[in-house]
Amino acid sequence: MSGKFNFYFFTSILAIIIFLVLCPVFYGIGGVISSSLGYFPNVSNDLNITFFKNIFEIPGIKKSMYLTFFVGFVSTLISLILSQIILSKLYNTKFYKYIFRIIAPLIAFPHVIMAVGISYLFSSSGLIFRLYHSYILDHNRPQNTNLFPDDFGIFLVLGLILKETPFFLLMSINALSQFPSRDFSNIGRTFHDIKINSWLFFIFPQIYIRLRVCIIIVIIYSASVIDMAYILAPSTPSTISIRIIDLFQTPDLNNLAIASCLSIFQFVLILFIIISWFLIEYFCKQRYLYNYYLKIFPILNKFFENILYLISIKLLLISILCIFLSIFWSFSKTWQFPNLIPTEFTTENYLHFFQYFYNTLFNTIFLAIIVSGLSCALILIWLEFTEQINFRSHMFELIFFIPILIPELSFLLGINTLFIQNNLSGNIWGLIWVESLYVIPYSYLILMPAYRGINKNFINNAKMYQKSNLNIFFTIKLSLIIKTIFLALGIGFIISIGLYAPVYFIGDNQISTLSIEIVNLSFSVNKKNLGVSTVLQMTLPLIMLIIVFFSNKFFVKWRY
Amino acid sequence: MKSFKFFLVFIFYLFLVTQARTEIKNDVWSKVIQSGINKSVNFHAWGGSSNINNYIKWVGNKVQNKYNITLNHVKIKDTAQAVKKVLYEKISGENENGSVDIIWINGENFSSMLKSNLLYEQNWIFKLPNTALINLSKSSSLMYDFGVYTEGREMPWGLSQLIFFYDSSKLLKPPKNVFQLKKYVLNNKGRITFPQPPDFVGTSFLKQVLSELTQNKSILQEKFNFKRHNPILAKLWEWLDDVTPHLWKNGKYYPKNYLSMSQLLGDDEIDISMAFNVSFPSNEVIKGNLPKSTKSYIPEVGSLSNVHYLTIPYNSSNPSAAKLVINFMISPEAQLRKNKQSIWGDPTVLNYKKLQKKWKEKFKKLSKGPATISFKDLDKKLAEPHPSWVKEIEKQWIKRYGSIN
Repeated sequence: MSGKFNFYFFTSILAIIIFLVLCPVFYGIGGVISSSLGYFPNVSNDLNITFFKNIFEIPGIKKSMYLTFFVGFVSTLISLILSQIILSKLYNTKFYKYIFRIIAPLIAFPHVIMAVGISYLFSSSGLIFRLYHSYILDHNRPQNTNLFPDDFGIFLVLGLILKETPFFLLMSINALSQFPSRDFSNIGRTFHDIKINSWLFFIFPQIYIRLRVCIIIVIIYSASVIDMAYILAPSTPSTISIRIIDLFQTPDLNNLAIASCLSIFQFVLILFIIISWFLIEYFCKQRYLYNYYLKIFPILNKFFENILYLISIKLLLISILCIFLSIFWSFSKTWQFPNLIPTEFTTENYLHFFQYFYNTLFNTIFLAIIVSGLSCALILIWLEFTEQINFRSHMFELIFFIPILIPELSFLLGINTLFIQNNLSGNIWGLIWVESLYVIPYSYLILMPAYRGINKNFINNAKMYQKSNLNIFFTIKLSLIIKTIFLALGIGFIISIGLYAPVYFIGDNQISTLSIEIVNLSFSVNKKNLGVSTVLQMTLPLIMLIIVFFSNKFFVKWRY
Repeated sequence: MKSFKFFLVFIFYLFLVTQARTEIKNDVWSKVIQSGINKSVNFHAWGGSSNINNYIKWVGNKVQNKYNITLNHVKIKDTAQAVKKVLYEKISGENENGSVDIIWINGENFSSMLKSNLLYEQNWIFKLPNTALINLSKSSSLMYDFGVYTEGREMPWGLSQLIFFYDSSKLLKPPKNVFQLKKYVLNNKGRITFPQPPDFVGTSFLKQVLSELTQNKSILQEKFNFKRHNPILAKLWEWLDDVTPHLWKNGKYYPKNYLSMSQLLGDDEIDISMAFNVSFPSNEVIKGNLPKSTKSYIPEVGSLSNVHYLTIPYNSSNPSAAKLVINFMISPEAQLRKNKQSIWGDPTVLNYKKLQKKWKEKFKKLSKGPATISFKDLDKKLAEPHPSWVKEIEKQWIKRYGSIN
């Protein structure tokens, strides 16, 4: 009797979790579709599809389309290539184990930091031109250059590469541990003396099949990115995401309808990018091409390999330089062109920032803590209850990934419209809910293997002592995976800090976080405040990483 | 004799009526106070400048002490967002407990709210006691927001005028009209730009050029009619066609707003910047963001000027509290502080003649910042074109220059 009751209880809780994840997504998509058809209750109730025609009348929309396609496709491709070059060079060397330590903080830093760094570096009064003017040209005024931002979105691609290459690196390292990679590599070395070639033929195919989902996520992210595009993309015209937001901001219902249509269009465009990616993959895999590969690749000689490797090292240097520039600006008092370092240093910027933005800082930390804790708790409940009812299906659990596999604008826009209509916008709980959707997939990815890998003997022993399930859950299971829980909390915290679009649409100007403030500040006069907020945005994830590291040491010692 | 008696009665009656009227007026205001105290007010105002944000914070503290009203400054990026919010609330049938109580507004946003009936009752501004200190006769320019009659639905709060500023150690003689400006652009490639329309200041710059190019300026006050007025716009496009390829970044990229443009001036990437706030350059000099040699000027024929207002949406949940706040914001105390260079430097809307002697002297004593222009220069004003021009200018600019690269 009670077993049956328990079964119903567990299933209904699981159903509620599914509901919590899916509800906002479908709610948002519904909102986008209804407003794209011009349906606004109390104002106009008739549906029409003319708004879809209107999107092709927006001036320069074609260029925006090309730009979005180019950025999404090329940045993903280059990041993938670079990550493989770095790995092929470092695999089986003593540096291999250090890669993780270098890229971990780079991954933890939010994307927008790289964007700010690049703008500090390449703008007409940026560091590159300061160097150029001080040492080559004897001229102390910035020249009018078209270098940054460029017409084709190349700097946006660069910014994305700086962030996505470490991501691919991490994921590839993970994939390498899933198959006997060392043996593959050794076989490869007997055939080719060039590392890249043996890598391409023997190891890369194995990694690639394990990276597919990551590739889709990266394509979706780079083709729909908002905060980076604001800072790095060209503006006459800009990418589709920015144009959607521009339309969305006007107080005109027709424009809102067009923006919704455009976000559906963006969704289709991104699908098109993904399909073309896999079509190219399919084409490249044709067997008759292998002979050509065998002829072409030996051209990639050592020289070429080294050049590619140098490029990737340079990119790493750029990202480190970007970080240092932000730190310099945050401490500068006066830093006029063409000085290479600030002429006066001060800590006033920080005091000023804390005075005016303490709310923002507080919101950022508060949201991140609540969201990461909530996502972890939900996933733990999910894992425990599925175990209770003996339900295990990885396919079904892909549901958790739906929110990150749909371009964010396609449903956030709809949630925003519906929230405002129901007077829920700027609601902190609504924001926590939506932010959790972006954190839950990662909590699941981290917690699931650890939780399901718990040695069943411990549990069986405890059951023999008549311990209740609840007792077992808290005293045994959680303490066995406490290390992983800390990791999941830390990653959740880091992801939450970097989120821009959810705060923009759900917070609706009433809740502000650091990532919102950085984009606002990047439009304004104050490079020093921008520097401070970027530095804080970097410090928070670092602190989190350190906490995770030390809490592991602390807890793990006395639990075992 | 009878007529004299009648006259006396009449006089007495008149006396009673006027007495009663003033009593009613006081009575109405005390009712407003009664229903307004202890409430909270959501003030939606652009939050991009820390000076202004601090000033609003000060207002918040004052009304907290005075009426125990909590003033929430909702820092929006664009006034259109607040308008949108009210519009959505109307869509969802939220007609009484709206989330917006006061909006800082003018121009296009006001006229679009007026059009969609999103504003509080007509002539509410005359019911506030401090209105007596402002000249609000029907012919006063304060009653016309970009040429649109305000119907007493928004309260004047301050005055703005488009000003240009530059580093006088690098640019000796700034171009003082559009023809000189064009020459300057052609001779100094890449040293001039403007914020990308539809940014407010960017569009205002285009309107300034249009006004200077148009001989008969009164035509700009008419509602835009494509057939009649497009040839006038053609002059603006002709001017821009010549100038655009030689702008900063060859006219392929523009600053996002006047703040980022001012940063470009500070970085010496461009020669001239502009703002709609007379004391903005001085404040930036004080903060160390612009060089000490920064100076401001306005073009020979004058520059665009307009009034900015405070308004209450039709569905405000606390209109009485909003009125109390607005009444305080146009009091001499609040206006004087707003006028101070170190605080904000926004000129007052109060009528100097109607002020008490002690306030008159305080206003006289206000000092100017290092990079502010003289009051005499500020007298040269151009009226804003009718709001219907704005949409057309923005639409055509985006089509011609904003989406072709």
